[in-house]
Amino acid sequence: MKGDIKFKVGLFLVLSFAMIIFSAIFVMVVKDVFTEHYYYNLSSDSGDGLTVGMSVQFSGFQVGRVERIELTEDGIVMIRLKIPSRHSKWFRKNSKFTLEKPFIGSPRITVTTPNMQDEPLSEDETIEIKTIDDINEVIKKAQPILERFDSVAQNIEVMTDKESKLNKAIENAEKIMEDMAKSDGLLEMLTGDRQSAQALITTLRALPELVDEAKNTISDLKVVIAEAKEQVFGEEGTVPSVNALLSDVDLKFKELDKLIENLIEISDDLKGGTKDIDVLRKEIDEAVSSASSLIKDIRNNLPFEQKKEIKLP
Amino acid sequence: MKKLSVLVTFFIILSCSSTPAPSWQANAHIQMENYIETFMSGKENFAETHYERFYENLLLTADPDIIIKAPLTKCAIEFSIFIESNCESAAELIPMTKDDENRNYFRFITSSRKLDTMTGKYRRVVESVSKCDVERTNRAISRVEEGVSTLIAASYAVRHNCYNEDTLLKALSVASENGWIKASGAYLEKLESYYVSSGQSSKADEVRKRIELISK
Repeated sequence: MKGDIKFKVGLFLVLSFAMIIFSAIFVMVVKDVFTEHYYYNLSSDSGDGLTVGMSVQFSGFQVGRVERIELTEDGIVMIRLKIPSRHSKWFRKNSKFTLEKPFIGSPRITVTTPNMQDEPLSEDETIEIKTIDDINEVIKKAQPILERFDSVAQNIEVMTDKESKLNKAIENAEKIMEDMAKSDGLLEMLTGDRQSAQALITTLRALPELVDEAKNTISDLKVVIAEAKEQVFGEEGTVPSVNALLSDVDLKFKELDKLIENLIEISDDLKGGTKDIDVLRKEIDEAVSSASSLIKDIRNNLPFEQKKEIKLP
Repeated sequence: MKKLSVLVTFFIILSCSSTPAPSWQANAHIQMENYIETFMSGKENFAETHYERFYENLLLTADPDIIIKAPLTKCAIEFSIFIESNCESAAELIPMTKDDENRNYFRFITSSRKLDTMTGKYRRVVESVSKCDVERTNRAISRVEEGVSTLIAASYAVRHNCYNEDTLLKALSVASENGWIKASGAYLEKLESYYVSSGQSSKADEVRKRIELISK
């Protein structure tokens, strides 16, 4: 009985030990400890973004790592890649190496090989690495958009200023309408029919509200501009879509300018003015809703700073 | 097990994301910035609208310590460009406030006497002005980071007669860099008076020309 227990304990110990040894060997095999490696040399003007252990990828798969980074006497950064032999076939004479600094995620070195039939890459060769900096690219793309934001906001500000043509036109037109409204006959005589006279008055009365709405939109646009300046643009695809929206809004403002010019002449040609005011109202509505949806879109896509504490200046 | 780990990861991610600021706070913040920007740029009509909206957003909190930040800001902005104001709307709220920062700030921008101490970013300026060490005051003003705050600090030094040409030039350059024409005008006038009183007539003439240029 005693001998049986001793045997079982012994067997357990031997198995445990064997398991540990086996696991260690397994890990070493997985980690390519026994694999033959190839070493390739790259050079770069800057070591910015490079780290030892950085992933080397081919078609999105990791095929090796950066083993060493050195700065030579003449200021060139030398990068040594460690590639397991099974992946060395991807490295050809025409292979191109790119240091990618993605907007999201860690930087990596990407290998692209246009012709797999080319000669294998020699370990003695040193190839220059190119850099793709997504963050800087996005900032570069975002800059003109931010400038356009400012221009759009200023445009609305000018339009809605108390001294603006729009406000003056509304003021003048309202005064005329008020005077005329006192006499139905005169109004009908000038506008052609009673229905359009009423429509004109309603439209004119609604215009100041629209101006206020436009002012609110400016303010919101400024929020977006300020926030966007603090933060970097988000996902891919945001920039082009924002650009398209901005073009739309900008175009509408240009059309509005023309309409405002027409509106100023309302007292000369009231019938034509009636038509213009209707269009103007629609255009303002559209411009404001475009700007609002633009703000919404950007807010949804930008990684804005979350806390906005109110601090005394 | 796999589902559990996915859930745990999900909750970890959720707990890492910061909560968005309440809308009153985000709106008030931008209205405050707009108010300062438009006021300093001489667009008073817009400034007034932005101030009203800034105040309205703070009012939503019903907290006097938060609401008072609007009149205090307005008062400080006027203080920074030498507009005399008794800060009445802030004074009305002061008895209701509990935060020492607001009370100290109110004293800082309304007191006609020099303060001995002050907390926050104006501490060094207040201390050096209390001893009227002009060089130290100028260094302290340069260390104040935000543009508006630099003007407030410079105005404090000027109001307590502890300044020199450099103090005014520093404030003027901040106003100019930011495109704050109203502030630039205020500091140019101070600079002109300074040159006149110190007998530097040629410099005073140059400054006068700049004032004329922006008055057109």
